[in-house]
Amino acid sequence: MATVLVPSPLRPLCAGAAVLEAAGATLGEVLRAVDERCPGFYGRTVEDGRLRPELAVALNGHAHRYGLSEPVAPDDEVAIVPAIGGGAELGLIARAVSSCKAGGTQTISWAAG
Amino acid sequence: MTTTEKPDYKVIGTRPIRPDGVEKVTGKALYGADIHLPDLVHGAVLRSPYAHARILSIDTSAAQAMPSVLAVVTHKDLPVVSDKAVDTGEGMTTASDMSQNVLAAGKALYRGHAIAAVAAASAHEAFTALDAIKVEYEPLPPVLDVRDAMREDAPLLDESRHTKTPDRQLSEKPSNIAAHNHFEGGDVEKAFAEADAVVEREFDTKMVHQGYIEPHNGTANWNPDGTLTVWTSTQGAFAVRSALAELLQLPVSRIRVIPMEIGGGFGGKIGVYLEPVAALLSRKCGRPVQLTMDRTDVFQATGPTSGGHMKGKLAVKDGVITAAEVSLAFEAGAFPGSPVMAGAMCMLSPYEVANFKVDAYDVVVNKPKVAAYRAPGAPNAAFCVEQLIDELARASKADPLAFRLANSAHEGTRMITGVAHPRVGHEETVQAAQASGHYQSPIEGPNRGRGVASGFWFNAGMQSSVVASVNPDGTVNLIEGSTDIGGTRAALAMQLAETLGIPYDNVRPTVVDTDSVGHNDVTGGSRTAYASGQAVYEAGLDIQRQMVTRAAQLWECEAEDVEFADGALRRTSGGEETLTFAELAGKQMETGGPLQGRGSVVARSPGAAYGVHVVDVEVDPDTGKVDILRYTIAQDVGTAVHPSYVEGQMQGGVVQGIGWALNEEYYYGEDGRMENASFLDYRMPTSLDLPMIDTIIVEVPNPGHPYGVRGVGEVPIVPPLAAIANAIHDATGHRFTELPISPRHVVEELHNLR
Amino acid sequence: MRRTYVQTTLNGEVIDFLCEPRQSLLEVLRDELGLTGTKEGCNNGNCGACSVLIDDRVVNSCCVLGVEAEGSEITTIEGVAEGERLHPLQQAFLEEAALQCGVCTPGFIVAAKALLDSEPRPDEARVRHWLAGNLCRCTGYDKIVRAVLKASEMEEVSV
Repeated sequence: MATVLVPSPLRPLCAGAAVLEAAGATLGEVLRAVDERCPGFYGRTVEDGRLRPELAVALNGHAHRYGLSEPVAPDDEVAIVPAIGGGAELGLIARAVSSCKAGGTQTISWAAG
Repeated sequence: MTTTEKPDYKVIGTRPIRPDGVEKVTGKALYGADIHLPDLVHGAVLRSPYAHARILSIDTSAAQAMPSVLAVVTHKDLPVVSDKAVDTGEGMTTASDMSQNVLAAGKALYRGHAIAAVAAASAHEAFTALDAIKVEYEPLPPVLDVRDAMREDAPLLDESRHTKTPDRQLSEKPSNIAAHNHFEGGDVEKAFAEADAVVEREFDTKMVHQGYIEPHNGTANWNPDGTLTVWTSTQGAFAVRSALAELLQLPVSRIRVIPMEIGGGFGGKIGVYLEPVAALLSRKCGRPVQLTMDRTDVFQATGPTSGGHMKGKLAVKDGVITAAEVSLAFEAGAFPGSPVMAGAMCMLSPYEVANFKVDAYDVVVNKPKVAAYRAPGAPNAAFCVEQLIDELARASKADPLAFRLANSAHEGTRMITGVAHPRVGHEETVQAAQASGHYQSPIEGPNRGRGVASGFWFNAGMQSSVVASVNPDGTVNLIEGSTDIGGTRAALAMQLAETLGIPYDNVRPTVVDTDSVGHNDVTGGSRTAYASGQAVYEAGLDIQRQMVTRAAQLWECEAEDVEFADGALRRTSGGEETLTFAELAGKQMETGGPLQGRGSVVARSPGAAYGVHVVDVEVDPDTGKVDILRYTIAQDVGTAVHPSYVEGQMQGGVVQGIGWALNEEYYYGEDGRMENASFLDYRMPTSLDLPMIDTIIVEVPNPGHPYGVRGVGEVPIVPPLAAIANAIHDATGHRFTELPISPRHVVEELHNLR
Repeated sequence: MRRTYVQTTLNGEVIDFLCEPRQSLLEVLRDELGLTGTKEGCNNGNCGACSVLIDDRVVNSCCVLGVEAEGSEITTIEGVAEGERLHPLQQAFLEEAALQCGVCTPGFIVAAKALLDSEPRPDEARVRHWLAGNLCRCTGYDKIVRAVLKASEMEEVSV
């Protein structure tokens, strides 16, 4: 089971839990598995088949805009983190996808904790 | 200083002359404004005289009727774009915000906002023609201060903007607060209740500019078949191409961006300002069009970095930092997208803090839309947190560096995002600063003081792509797409030479246009030596593999019996044959044809950077002038590829920080006019203001890079604001919580005139 | 606009050009004569990127009109090296990594040349004072000052 770190704004969906265990061989499967226990989680993290544009995932500490097919090993740590503006300067940069709608005019929009 | 045993590199760690150096010292290097094309015409941009105004009408007919005028454009000439998210290379923005920033639509949101543009045979004629454009404005009250902008009754920049709340809902009422984000961990209230000491203060910083010496420029040629060529000084040719494709609704393949030499960027030359306007003008007049900014335009109409308001409260118990509650509100300028989240995520990262509550507000104001500036957001946030840490150390009667060491983050420490640090070098960097001759020396004399501060920056990875062609004489041409702002051609050529075991001089790097190499993300995020370096390493390995196969073919043996080492091929069993790199390079035709290595990476392990700074100041209580007496920077750079350029990054970042701390600010009148939009009044440090900047290179190799490279460019600007404020406090007993700590500010504070 | 005929000595060569009276020397050098090594950073005399020598004095060419060049001797960055041989300042800038983006470099080299031509052995304080009119945003000046001091110790190029 992968360990999932839940950012503080999503904790209400997860009965307040900051850390969850979830099974899945890919990032998408892990997020789906969390969604089964915390309905709404998938929709808050994934849009049009990709991570929402304002998000990144830190897989074992390496933050990146991973695809949902990214393999996840049972002892991996999956942290949902903000993909920040301001930066090519950031390791957590989001790569835009033209198919993603940002919804409004927000550039950076996520909290994690 | 090397903290772990370093492999025996042959090229890495040496200080060769950069490949583009001679052209730059002889004046032959071509920067964006140096390009002269056949039939070239020039443009000029009409800019809003108001910080906030509705544009009622724009009448360009008189200008268009002038014989000298070849074309006039306004926002109407830009295609309608959606509000979909696009990556400009400096983070996510929306196409419609970008489009409205390029040429104002409906409203002018800051003084200097582009309204219309003209092309004419000469720049003088184009500027003259601007007077003939009639714009009817309805001036609106400008919102200039972040706290004013956050008030419920503040005039709104955009009536349709609602705050995106931490749980991703939209606020009921419209607001200038574009986003509110929140991080929380542990139990802050309990930690404050149980603390030995709690310090709490508010801090303010002003908008500042990157201050690159070369103004923005853009030259475009739009052909009737819809192909567009753009010459520009940019940190990222591919970022410019994506932005143009989005703004002009062109297929990416129709646009070719040729990156000229770039005269500084620091994050400010990623977004597009002039390029799309030059393209529109060129389409209309059928000739190549060049636009350049003057210095006033650069200040008023490009992307400085945020000022803001910060509140911080930190607690200590038994010498341990137990809690931090920090609220940051950063001005984004006219459109959302301040670096407040980056600041929030960096400021506590040098430390292990169990209990924290962090709020971050992104706020629009009637100022230019901010862009990235060297570790964006982190210096401001460190100005707040690192001064509070100084106070906690004093409250704990601890040496400020020893206090930082005792509370230092290390491998496994979780940041406020929950993500654990990999191997990082804050502890080693603090120790290096402690051991420095500077810190070991006494600081004596009246009005003198010493300050220290730490800084953290993530560094970026992202995508890079290179091709290396082996020539028959054994030299190699390295084709890369990372624009070179400070010596990266050398840093990349050195890594290829190291990988191939050949001399540095045998590798010739060239930065090419977007048609000529695979995608490369911007030169920013301190990523080039690291990520493009990794691509270069992959290309080197590719060449190695191909050479091994070819040697095996020549020697009629298996590839596993051939070894590539030290720039030569050697048969390891069944024979004694050897070939040098150059010898095999000379046999390309008989071994399969031209030999090219390719490297394409998504670099995911940039390895964070830490810097610890020590500064001595002397404050003149009569004039308020602060002199920097001595400055030492210790920084974990992973592995210094070219130590001279690593030192240069450290020194340059420090000096920008010194300017930010002591003099630089956007000084606004109540009408929203920047009153100091020249280098005379926006006072950047000169050679006369500074001592030598001493550097201590700490090398804690980045496990995510084959040679241990970490980004070095940005973190040097993070600690200076706080380190200098701490030094001034040491000298005067006064805690300065507002920037800049200018002579006037110092005199007013010391003499109770505020 | 009516153009004026100007004759001047540029980098050792007698030349002539036509320019509008409103054109600065910087514009003339860059736009009329194609010498783009002299850079524009501010166009109002505050950054030194456009430094050239007029009759051996360092001036900001953005603050001089092209027509004022009549009869003078002008040296730009393109005239600092002697053919294939770099000036000691140019060599020292390369060796000391005294440039990053390089856009201020021509101005610094021209300004520093004026210093070394008149004072061959300046000390650090003198170099810092002399170069205070040239802005560099990349280097923090450390390596520039070192390069000028190093050049002052190198053998002069014989003219």
